[in-house]
Amino acid sequence: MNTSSTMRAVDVRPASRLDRALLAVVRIGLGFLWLGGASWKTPPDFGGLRDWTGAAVKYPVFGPYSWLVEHLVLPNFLVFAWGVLLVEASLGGFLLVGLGTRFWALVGMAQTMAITLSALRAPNEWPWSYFLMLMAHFAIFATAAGRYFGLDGVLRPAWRQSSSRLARLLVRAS
Amino acid sequence: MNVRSGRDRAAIWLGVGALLSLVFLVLKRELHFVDIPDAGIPVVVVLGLLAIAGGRLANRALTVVAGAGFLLAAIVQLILHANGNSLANGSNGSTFGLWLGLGFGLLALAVTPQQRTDSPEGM
Repeated sequence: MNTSSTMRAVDVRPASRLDRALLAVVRIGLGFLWLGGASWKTPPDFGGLRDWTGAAVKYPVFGPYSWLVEHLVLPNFLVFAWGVLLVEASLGGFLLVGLGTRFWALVGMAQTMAITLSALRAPNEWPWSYFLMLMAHFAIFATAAGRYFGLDGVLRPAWRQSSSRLARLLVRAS
Repeated sequence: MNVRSGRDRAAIWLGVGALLSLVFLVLKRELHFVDIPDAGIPVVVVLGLLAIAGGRLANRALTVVAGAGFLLAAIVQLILHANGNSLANGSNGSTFGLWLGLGFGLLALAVTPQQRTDSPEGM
């Protein structure tokens, strides 16, 4: 078998320093995007988030998701709201420093899907903003963007040499 | 003599990044990505300088202290914010996320065992 055909896409280093810097800009930009999202999830009552979550029921995009929000999320709203705050703040922080980037890219995709299914049909929304968010996470996942000017790039060599379970997980997450 | 490795340079950059986050005190409107409370300014300055010192001196203990400090600051900020404490005025989830990332990042740099050859993959 041809060696090049077995090489995984993420093992191919972007050609130039400019390419790597641009990937870092995308990753850091997404980090700030999520920090912006976390900034208006305000405990203890999370008022704004409650309205947006309710949009999944008021302006349904996908029936089963609306049902889930109405019967599971809204009755347990505070638990859900704290979870959203922790996930979005973590997404921001970890993407900014480039630690576990591929894992957090997957979390970002999941959270983007949840937001999309809540807000896509709400008045005055621009659907492409959600599609672009999703595609940006595809990009940092596919390119393992934390390896360029991020902590994944600094720490991966050590994780790869370690036989510990955590190190093996971090190799996959980065 | 201490020799600086890739991770020491990364600790310096995280410290510099922490100090640079203070620029959000003056950037407003569209570029106001993160909220830094007044009470958080000395926290950022002290812990940012500690991270830089940890990297420059290749001193893992200093990097651990800076990382643990940011993590503790993040948790305290979140608790104060949730309880409406005035010390958290001007902060929100973005403050928490930024300090969480800096904390975990610095701790990861400090506690990951040194590999045999310390050459970063993607700089």
